[in-house]
Amino acid sequence: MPACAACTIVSGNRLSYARVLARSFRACHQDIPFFVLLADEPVAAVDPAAEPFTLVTLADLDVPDLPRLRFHHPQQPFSYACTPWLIEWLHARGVDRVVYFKQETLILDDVSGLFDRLATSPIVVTPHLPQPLGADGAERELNILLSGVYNVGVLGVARHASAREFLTWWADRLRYDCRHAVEAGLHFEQRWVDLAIAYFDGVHVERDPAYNVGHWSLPERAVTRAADGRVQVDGRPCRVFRFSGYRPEEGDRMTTYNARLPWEGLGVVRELVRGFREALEHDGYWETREWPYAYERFDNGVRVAETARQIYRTQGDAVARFGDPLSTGGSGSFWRWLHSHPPESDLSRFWKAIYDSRPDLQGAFPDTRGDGARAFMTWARHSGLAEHQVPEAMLTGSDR
Amino acid sequence: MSVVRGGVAICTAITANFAAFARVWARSIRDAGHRDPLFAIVTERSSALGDWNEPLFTSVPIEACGLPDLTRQTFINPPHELTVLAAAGPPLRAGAGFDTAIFLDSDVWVLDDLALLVETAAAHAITLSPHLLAPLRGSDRAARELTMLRSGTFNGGAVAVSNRPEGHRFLEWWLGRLSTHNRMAPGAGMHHDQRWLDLAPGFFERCGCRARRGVQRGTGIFPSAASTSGRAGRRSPEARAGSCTLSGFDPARPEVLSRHTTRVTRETLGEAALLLDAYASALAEAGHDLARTTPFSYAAFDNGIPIPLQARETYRDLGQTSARFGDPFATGPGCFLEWLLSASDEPGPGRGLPRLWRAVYDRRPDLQQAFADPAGVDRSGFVRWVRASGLQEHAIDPALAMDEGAATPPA
Repeated sequence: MPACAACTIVSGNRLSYARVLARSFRACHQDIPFFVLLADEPVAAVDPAAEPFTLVTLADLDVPDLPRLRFHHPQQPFSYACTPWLIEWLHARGVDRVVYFKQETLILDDVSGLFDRLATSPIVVTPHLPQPLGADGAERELNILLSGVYNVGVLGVARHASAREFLTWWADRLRYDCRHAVEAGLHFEQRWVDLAIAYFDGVHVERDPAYNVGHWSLPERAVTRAADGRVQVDGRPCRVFRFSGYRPEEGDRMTTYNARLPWEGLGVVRELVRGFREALEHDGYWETREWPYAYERFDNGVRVAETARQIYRTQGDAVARFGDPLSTGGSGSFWRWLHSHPPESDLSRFWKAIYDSRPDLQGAFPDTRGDGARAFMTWARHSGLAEHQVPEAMLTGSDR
Repeated sequence: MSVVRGGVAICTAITANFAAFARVWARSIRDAGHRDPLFAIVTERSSALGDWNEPLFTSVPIEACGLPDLTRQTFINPPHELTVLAAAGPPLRAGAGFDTAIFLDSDVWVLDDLALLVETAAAHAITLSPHLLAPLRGSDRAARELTMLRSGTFNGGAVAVSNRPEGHRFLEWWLGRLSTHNRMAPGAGMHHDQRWLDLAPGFFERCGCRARRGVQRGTGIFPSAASTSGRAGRRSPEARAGSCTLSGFDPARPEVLSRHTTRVTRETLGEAALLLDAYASALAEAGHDLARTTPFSYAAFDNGIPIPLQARETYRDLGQTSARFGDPFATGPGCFLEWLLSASDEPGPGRGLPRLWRAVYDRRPDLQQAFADPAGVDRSGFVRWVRASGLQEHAIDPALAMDEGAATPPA
């Protein structure tokens, strides 16, 4: 294995992002391999040998209780939760310096500086904002405090004892808590990294904005083109550009996360966005986006509702008895348990969890036995399915 | 403030009823062998302090600190928030004449040499103190770390700034943010002064810091040596310096470590619980029983009516348009209090209620459900609620209660 490697993580239906990122990286660094973890089941249509990267599968990693982890989180958060595992896997295979880029990224110029920094600092993080905003910037800074001081779309981790501690800790926290719940202090995998600077030796905060330009920093950054056509930020080479929240379906829109970024005022960024879309399309965006995510449904075809994931997460190690939670066969499956009734109610455990989470429903339906349960299920059919984005099959526990 | 050029200054900020805490704080620093000048910014009116003099520290009234927009700040901030603001302000400004200014909360009890903190502070532009130094263990590890993520990676009770450009830039920024966003609102990303500190390592340049835990750049990270509100739980083995932050400790209830946590009890503290007894004794010797009764001198309008928190928040939300009232503490024609008690003319179900009670009504869905038309057909019921419950629930003086008659017409 080489001393340095770059990597990203995608599910099958986001494979075009990995292709575009890997190609852009290789254009700048032909000597550094690029690895892509497929956070999904292998896709028959993909020939690893034909890809511009080295494909890593979940089966390659040493993730304990993988069926549980992939059930804890839906598609995107699951891919985020795999980040420490992929980096650790690369370290275990002898890679000394790993730089992870989140999938919606273009490498525009030499990023050797990140690898070089890892020679002296085992963990390299990039802040969303490398300097205070102006006097009227408090609200934007508060938004950053809610989503994480550091943007983990670019993260460097060297093979080092301190970094190993970091990865072990991060993987542990992400097993259950890789969700968007800002009121609880969570923003997927990202908020956790705010603690890393206090916990681990050798955290370097890379404040050069050229290594992570995204929608959050565009109001302060001048993105231009030099005479030779290279993209610059604040007059210096722009090395990493992030398209966080960009969706080709949205057309001329930089990101779904920031409605205050006017397309008309984006200048060179508009060219980058359009170029990124063309690159995605060239690399099969419209085809791959239709590929099903393997862990989205129970094996009877019913989509896994977020409430089911929540219930599963709160059961802790007791879920071990269910085996693979996506498997619905047999009386001991999670699916069967979810549709069984707790002793105190005629509602299934699934609907009882929704009932317990909502004081308004408890007021409206004080009794969850007999007629009370039937009345509740009438609400569930007419309103609950839509309000909680629940598949209809969860009304009866029947297969699709 | 008397200015000593060069060297280290150690400072704190208190309201007068925390005087005993500052005395114990100062005594503990002296007992640890430090001879640096000690300052306590007292967030009270000079007129209320009289000739207050302390043998161990210099008490500086907030009026002498050059805090921008002082009258507004003393009105919008309740006592705790005002001391937090004072902490970020002039006492920490290295420009006040010191090479290094170290702020320690008044409930910090220094138990050992602070040399490591002084050394770290001198070597960095900004020195911060994390709540936690290493990943937690135990079944509640994630939940406890999430609590920290909501309240701040760094503890605002121990911050040092040195006389470097980055130190000055940090203080300008921090004070600016606290001037407008200094309250407890974790859902909005705020935890008084504290959450803002999380941004500092990303914002400010390195300046010759040395490598140690978590430090590779300009923001020094100093290990809190012992329990912070019982959250760190135990002394860090690598911490040389010793200080104990007893945030939320009430000497009247020494059996409780902190009002901020129920997780750590006297039993779980073991021998460390003896510290609580000793601290309570020290506070008693320092005159806490008398000091704690001292009223906050920014607590009332000039007619003596206590300022409710809702009035402070309403004034804050007016922003710079509040300037038309002049001194918000003053009462008389055209004053803020008169406006506050006049009928609201903003559209909505609460239109016509006194603005003070309209603000209360607007923030409470339960009241909106119970009194759909509080200024009309439900007015009697709403007034009954105000008198029976509202005054107490919102700590509002009866003089500001509304009656069943029509409110004063909009001003």
